Amino acid sequence: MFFAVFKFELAYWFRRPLTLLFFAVFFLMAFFSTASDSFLNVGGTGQIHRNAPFILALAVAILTAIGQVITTAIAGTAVLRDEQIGSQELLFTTRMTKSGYLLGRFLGSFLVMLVIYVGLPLGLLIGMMMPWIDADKLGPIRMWAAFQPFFTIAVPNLFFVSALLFAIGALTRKLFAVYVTGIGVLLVWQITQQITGDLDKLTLASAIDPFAFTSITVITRYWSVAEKNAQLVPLHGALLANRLIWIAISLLLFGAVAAFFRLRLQQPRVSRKIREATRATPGAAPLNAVPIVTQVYRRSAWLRAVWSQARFQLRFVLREAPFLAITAIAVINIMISAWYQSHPGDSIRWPVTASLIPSLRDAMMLFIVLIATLYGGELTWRDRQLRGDQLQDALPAPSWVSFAGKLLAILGATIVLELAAIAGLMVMQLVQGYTHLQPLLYLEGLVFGVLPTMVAIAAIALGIHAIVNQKFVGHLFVIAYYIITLVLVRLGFNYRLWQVGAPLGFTYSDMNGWGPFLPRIFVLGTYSVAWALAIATLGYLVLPRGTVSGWGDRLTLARRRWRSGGFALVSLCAAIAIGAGGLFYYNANVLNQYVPVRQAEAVQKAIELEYRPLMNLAQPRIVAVSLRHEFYPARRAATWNGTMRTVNHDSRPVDTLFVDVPLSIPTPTDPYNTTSNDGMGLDSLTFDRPVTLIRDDTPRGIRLYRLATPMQPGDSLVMHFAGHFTPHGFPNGAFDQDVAANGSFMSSQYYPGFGYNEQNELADDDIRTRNGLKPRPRMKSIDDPTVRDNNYLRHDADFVAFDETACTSVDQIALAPGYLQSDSTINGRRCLHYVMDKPILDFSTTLSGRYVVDSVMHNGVMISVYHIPAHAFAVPSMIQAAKDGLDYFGTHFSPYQFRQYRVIEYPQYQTFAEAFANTIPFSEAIGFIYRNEPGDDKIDLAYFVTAHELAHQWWAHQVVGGDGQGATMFSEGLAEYSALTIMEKRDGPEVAQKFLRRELDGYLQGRSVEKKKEVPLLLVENQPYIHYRKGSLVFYALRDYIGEDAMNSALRAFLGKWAFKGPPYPTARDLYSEFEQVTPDSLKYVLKDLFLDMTFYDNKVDTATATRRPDGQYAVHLVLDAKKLKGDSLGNMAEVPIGDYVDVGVFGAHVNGQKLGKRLLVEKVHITQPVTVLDVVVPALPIKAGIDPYNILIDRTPEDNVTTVTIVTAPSTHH
Amino acid sequence: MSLRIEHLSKTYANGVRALHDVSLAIPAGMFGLLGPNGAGKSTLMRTIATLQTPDRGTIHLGDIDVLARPDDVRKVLGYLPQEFGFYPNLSAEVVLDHFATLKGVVHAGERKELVHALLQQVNLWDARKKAVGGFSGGMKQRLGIAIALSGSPRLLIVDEPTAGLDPIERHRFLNLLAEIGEEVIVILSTHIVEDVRELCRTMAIIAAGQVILQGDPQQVLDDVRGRIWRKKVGKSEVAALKNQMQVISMRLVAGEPVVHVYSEQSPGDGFTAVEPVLEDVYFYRVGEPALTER
Repeated sequence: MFFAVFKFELAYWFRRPLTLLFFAVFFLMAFFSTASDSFLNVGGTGQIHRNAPFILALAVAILTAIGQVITTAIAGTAVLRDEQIGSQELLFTTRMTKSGYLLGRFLGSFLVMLVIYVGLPLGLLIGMMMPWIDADKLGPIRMWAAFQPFFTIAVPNLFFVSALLFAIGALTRKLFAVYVTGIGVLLVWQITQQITGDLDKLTLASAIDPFAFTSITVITRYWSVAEKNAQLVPLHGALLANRLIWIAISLLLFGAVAAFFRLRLQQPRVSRKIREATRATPGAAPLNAVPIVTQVYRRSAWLRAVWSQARFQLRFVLREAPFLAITAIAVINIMISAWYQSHPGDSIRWPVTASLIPSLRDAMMLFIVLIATLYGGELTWRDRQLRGDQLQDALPAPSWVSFAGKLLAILGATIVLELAAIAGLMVMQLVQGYTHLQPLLYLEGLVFGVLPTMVAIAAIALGIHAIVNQKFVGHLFVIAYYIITLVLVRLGFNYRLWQVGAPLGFTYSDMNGWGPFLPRIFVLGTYSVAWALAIATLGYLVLPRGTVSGWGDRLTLARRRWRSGGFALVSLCAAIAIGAGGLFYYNANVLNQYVPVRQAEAVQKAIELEYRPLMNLAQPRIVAVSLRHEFYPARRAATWNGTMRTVNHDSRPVDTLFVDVPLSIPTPTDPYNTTSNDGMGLDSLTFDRPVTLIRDDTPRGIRLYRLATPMQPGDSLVMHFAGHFTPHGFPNGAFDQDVAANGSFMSSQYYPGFGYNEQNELADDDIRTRNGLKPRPRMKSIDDPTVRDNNYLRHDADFVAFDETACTSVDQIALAPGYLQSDSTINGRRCLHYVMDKPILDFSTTLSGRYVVDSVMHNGVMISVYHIPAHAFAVPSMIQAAKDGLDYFGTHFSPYQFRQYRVIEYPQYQTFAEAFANTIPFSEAIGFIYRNEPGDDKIDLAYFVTAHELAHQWWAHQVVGGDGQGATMFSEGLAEYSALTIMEKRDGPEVAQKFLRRELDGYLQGRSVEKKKEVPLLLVENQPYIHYRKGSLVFYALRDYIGEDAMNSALRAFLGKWAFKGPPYPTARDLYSEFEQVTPDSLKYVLKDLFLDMTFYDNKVDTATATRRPDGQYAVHLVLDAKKLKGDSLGNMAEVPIGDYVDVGVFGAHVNGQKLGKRLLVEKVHITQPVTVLDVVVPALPIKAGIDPYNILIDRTPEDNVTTVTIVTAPSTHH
Repeated sequence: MSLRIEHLSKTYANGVRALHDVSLAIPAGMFGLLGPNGAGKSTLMRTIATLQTPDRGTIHLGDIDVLARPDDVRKVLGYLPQEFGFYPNLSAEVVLDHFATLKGVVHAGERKELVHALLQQVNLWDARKKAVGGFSGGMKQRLGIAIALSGSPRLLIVDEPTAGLDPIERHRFLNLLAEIGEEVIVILSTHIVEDVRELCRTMAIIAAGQVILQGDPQQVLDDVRGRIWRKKVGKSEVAALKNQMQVISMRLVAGEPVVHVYSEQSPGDGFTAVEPVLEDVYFYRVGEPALTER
């Protein structure tokens, strides 16, 4: 019996062309994921091979998740098909057995799926053999690397998903239940993706991901580049656990099916049947009693009928279980993502409405497309499926009445979906204790940010379904439409007019509202909606009415409709679309520049080829800067002028000035690749002596002047310049948001400078190679003597005298580095004059906004926080950080060089804080909405970042590194360390541990995706994962070994030698030698390990047992594994002999807020063997014990360092 | 006003000849269209109801050219197709309101009044709030006729409305039809001969896409009166009888075959004359399937 059913199932699928289509789809997706750069690239960049085994595994996991749709079609319908085609009454009355039926159907469909999914490894394998792939992007081609994930990932995934959908189908006998379950599985997958933000929950996330994607990322999280290229993802640990869990769940599902499935028809729901009293029709009114009503057939009347149609159709949709289920899933999803969004890392942010508005777009778009696709098809087909079409088609209403009604109903359904999401978000805000609800702001976000896209999506979905006139194919076309719009962007078609119905780009800021986005939203929204309506109208034209079905009949209908308004409507839509498109083009290409990626790269390449030879041209040095800034916030405009006094510090005379003119050079890093500075222009550039402009390449940002008389060494020259920023319209890409209606934040890049700027060159090796340029070193070697000639901020200035007058509208405050000299309002303009009383780095900022100011005087330093009234949450933390930092750094490093410290909020168009001299622009998104309430027990990031920027007043503004390797080691690395130090002093070592655990994660993950080469900290090449993440780990460890006093004395000495000095600038070696001075010989190896090498440990506690001694103390017996490894630049690791001092710790009773418990014993033990057996005595009951318990050393499995102590009774021989 | 159908032909893409040179003149009042399954009734009905276009021929409703101006016909049309359904999760009231809107009853107050009157008329008042998914066949059919009747149609087409209804429901439904005013053209297609006899003033029989008879039922019966004969026969005799005379129907009554034959004169032994019923005419004209089998 089983075999017959099984064979039938196979025959059924293998005879269908759909099966071949599915196979082709998988084969091609897999093929392109290895054969093409831009399709489904899950991490094959830089040094990681495109066919690295873990990438193949990830591709298989993702493609099986995407393939869910197909699994639903095959396994989900295996038991539902009979009901659909109405054969179940015949089938169930045969002698077929239940087990034969179920097993046959399941295994049959499962086998079909396996055959289809074999397309994956085949596609991957053949894709990587394609001749066009760069040889150095490709590792060895190993068949097993493609097939192993098929067996470890794909087969179990398919087994589980098939079992689940099969079981749901068998138990509910409802196709929609199967669909919804399918979506639910994807949701679980989504959730696991978000949980991975929480390091403590990685194991959980790995376990519950039904597609094992997370398991693979957890296993390979800390793999180095070399390991990723070489190793297969092994079926053990997290992955094995995941596979076992899901197979077990699948078996349980089978059990449920076996127990509850019956070979019976589903019981009709009798209760809902209406039992009508079988009475005659006494006194039914004669028909002429039916009132005569007015029937109106005018277009205006039909337009009114559209509304009632829309309500009717919407009422139908809103009662549909699939709609309700999708809405529920969408709301759960957005609530979870909102939760994780306000808990980044180990910190908490207030869930302010402004930060949640983008999720109405980002988290909901998938569901909007889903609803539109599903109900576009349903509403198109519902009438026909229910056989209501003939009833309806014979009515006088034109077809467009119900068609338009359906369009509005789909739109209405998506609006209901969004409103439910908004309600969910507000619940989530309340749950987090945030009571400042802003429902109107949500609605604004919905209407401006998402609604145009929703209208377009609804119209496109309905239009495609009407044109295709085949439900399943229609679904495929609609989904294909969206996939294509997504892929187009990745393929470089980033011009927004290509993307009809795509999400609109915007950032909403509490500080600056919608900023400049609304006009672009309006134009693009109109454009999208008009095209979409044109598509919908075309759909309407060929919409069948009556029994017509062939294209001939439909075109006849279309001709009639075309004449009676169709033409007019299509023309109108097209005209509006073309008009809006033209307006967009005018804004993006005429008022602004649109430069495609490759073109922008070509420009930079040309500049490099032409001007790099002039790099060593002798240039004057800026010694004094005087600026005047005028902000016009209402117009989002600014003008400025300034004077720079320069001196020739070179030994050669300067005869030619190489002026770096600030201007709109497109940056290829912007995903939409347009220049952002189109409103910017240079108005004048003059000198205090005769010059000849010998080359005017202003469009590319360069001017060369010949001096009438060369500047001799020591001569000075004054340059005057003026410029403006006046935005025109809107660009295709990112807006220049530096000047804003509220919260302007401009910096020195708007002013001219001297000399060829190497930092503008194309940097990425891949990009250089494709432009025919040789890869270049990221930085000068630390040992190149010219490194000391310039600081790493700029090459044309050292410490300069500085003053600035900043003017703005009367309601705003303008700020610049320096001390306020005057604040006057003349003619409705408020001007503030700032002067620095000592030289600073030539690195300044000018800000303007409507701020409230919280100030506090602390030991002669004015601490001020400038913020908007709504963002007062973190101000106390920021002020506290400034006080603590001023105290500690001022005492232990060197005196603070300023009399003020100002933190100034700016809108969340960028998300960083930056340290200028005593002036810290700080994004609203990262500091100001962070939460630190008593009992939160999290990292107070507002405190930390404020302290970090304060520390930069020493580490950058007092000593700044020469422009080469290692420069950021002591600016960023020490800033991170200094901030951590005061945070640890305030919040305790537990918080520091938590913080360091995140830093460790950041470092290990960063190196695993390194694009060029990993280097030791001393040679860091501006790599954030090294200078921030490894920096704090290394300095913290160093302090742990040599002690705080020695550490501080080295830092003091370093500052004493190098602070406030121009060239020669220090390098990381200078700091290293200070550390050498204070490090005892026995620990010199630590210095080398930390700074000169890439050192890793694999420490582990093997066993920990304890026995109570008669004196009440405990003898603890420890077996510890220790392994030390050194890595190379690609992450190849080699074990080296160990001879290191490593902490061994024993901990007792639980102490609140401490992970390890009461510290009973922690001491550094000289470990010289891979396995160390250690016996120690502690005074109280030990609970936990282990090696390097505080994770001072870099260890890729830090969680196995500590274990719970087993208490054993004393051996009897002692008695 | 009358409906004139002239030389209507339709052949489907698969070669099935659904209508072949059909010409009918249908006056106001109830018109019965009889015919076996597959005779082309539904094709004809759908064509009149503007849902399908013929290959050839014309249809005029009064002075409206139906094929050229379907929209004008739809304004005066009530159509109840053979098979239809509603959105199951909506109530009868909502469904009726929906269709009334599409009939151009845009004024909400009037529409409400109309919907209520119709619901009472078709005796669905008590069930108006119930989801139509739970309706019985008869209730569904009555809701259908309420839809067809809304907006005072002048041409009402009902395609096999009583198929599948139990006798009580069937009567209830036919009574509803009987109430419709004299000036309305009602085309009732059916293969239940009784329906036509009870209700229709004129009728036609079509088979294999052709009109084989049209006229007044009474006159049709008059044409065969005295020529229909009945006899109880043994099972073994049937075959022989068929060779000898024009047997128009045979049925088993209590296990014994009873045959009706058509004959100008008495066929003789054992045959008794019977008062013809429409069924006899139908079988005579169309041929009983069981008997035409070879």
